[in-house]
Amino acid sequence: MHSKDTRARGISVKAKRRIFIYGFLAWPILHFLVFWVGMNIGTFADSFFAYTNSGLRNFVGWENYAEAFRILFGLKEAGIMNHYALLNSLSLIPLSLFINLPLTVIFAYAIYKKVAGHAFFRITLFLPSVISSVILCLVFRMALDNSSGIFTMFLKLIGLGGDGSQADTGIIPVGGYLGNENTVWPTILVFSVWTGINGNLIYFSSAMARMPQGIFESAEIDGASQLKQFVSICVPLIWPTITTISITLVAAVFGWMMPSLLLTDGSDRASTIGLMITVGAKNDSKNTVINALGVIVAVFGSAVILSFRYLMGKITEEVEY
Amino acid sequence: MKRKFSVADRIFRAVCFAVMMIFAISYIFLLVWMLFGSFRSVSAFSQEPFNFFDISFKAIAKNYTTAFSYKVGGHTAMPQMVLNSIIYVVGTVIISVTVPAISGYIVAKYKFALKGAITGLAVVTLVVPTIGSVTMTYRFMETLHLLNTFWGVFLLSAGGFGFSFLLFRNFFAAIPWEYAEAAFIDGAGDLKVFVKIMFPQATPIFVSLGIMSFIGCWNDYYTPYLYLNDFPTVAYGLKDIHERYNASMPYVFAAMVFSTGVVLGLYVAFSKVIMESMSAGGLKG
Repeated sequence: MHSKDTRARGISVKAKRRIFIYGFLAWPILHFLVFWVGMNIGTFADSFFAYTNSGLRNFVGWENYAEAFRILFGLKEAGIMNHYALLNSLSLIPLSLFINLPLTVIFAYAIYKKVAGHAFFRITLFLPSVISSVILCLVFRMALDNSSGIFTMFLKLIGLGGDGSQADTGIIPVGGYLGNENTVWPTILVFSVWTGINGNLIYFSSAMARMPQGIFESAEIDGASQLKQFVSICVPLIWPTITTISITLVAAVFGWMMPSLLLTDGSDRASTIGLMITVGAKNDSKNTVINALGVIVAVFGSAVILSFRYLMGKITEEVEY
Repeated sequence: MKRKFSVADRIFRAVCFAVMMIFAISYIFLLVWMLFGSFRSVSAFSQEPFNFFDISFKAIAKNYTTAFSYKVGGHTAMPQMVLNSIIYVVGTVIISVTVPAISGYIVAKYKFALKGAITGLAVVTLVVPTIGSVTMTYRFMETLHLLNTFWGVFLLSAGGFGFSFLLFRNFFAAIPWEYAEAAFIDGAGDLKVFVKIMFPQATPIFVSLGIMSFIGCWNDYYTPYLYLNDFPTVAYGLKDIHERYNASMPYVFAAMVFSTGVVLGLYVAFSKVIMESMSAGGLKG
């Protein structure tokens, strides 16, 4: 009798637990199926159709893909739908990985090693994550303004900004740094470095806070410099965090668009994949060439990110501590 | 006892200090320029953009009144934009923190058939760039009449397997399970253990992710730009105010100072909690 009760109670507890688990996971799974799986399958399916003005859907085979490749490789251009989008987006990968990421890790390490003013830096270097990107973009734009921008005024002050006439602009390009097609993208890259020391600082700082202090003390006794400790101890210990953050950085490149939109109001020369797709979707949500572009980006982007993830895993093994 | 650094260490620390200082000063200069700019008259600012001392109460009143009375899109003034921001931010923060917290907790603490698959899905959502599906999502929202509604953006933010999921999963995985087991022996159910024992321990990460999410949503331009055009938020309205008052920057600065002040105050107040709670969870893919 007792054992029967226990079994009955045991089954009941198990069933209740299953209801608890799947009951609470039902919504996230449903949301994922609708907004991730459903939307991506829909995007793929629609990429083989075109909509007429009256809203009818016609099968067009691979034509949208052909059109998307013509745009990506510069055989056809229409405003921000141009080949610069792919080039610009791809140029953000080395910028993120070889400038912004190392700077963020080194800054986090310097704060961890308590350089002078570390408490001050911990707060101020996080500011680009707190200040709206709209504000950062607009203020940067003002700083480069041809007549009253601080940067252009500084160049004029030191004699590099020309005499103010149209004939002599010094090293300031005609139209200004954001208005000239040759300088607009490099200027946006500079902006990206300026605002690139972002919220990731917090993740690296917290990863460093968990490192065992004893290893550093031993290294110091052995005479290892702080730079040597950084390269030989710190980086291997926080490698999983570096891997995860760098993957999110590479993935973010394909949706990156805000500075292009806000600094240049969507200049053709500052186009990115994200800008092309988002503005394209907003202006005409039935333009299925954008769906084809989206599918190409998803396939190509996933391949880039997975290869990168594989490489990062090969560089060093995870250290347990 | 004061520590002595080697020459190599001193050079390394000095270089780090110098570079960090350049970045820090540029951010602080931006804030100071914005703040003092919002205290100056339009004419004074046009003549000398970098004179910080000719502030006047008359100019302050004029700048802030103009910024607060300008109607974005011809229909929404700043008080309404603040209200729109609050509705958007509060709803999105509650949903976007709670849903991944629950899924993160279940995946971290229970064994079940889909456990491995769900963790894999969370990583996949980070790895595959799905920017291309924005067209389909936009059309889907339009078809369901959810475009330009707060319910629509709340629905979009209610996913459970993103970046926050990984943070919560790691955080809950690090919390000992002994208290829960003791509660189970005393007859508590899974829901009771979840609400009464595990969630209170996760308060710091809830607060920090909530604050980070608040800041992100308050500053978000992308979502209102795409899905909430009829209900402009403060961040969305700033661009419009800048376009209208491009030649009268003190008005724009006044709006910027207000927008930044809200999140800056929140960040300064909670920065310690944010740092400490992130240290407890950690980030691994």
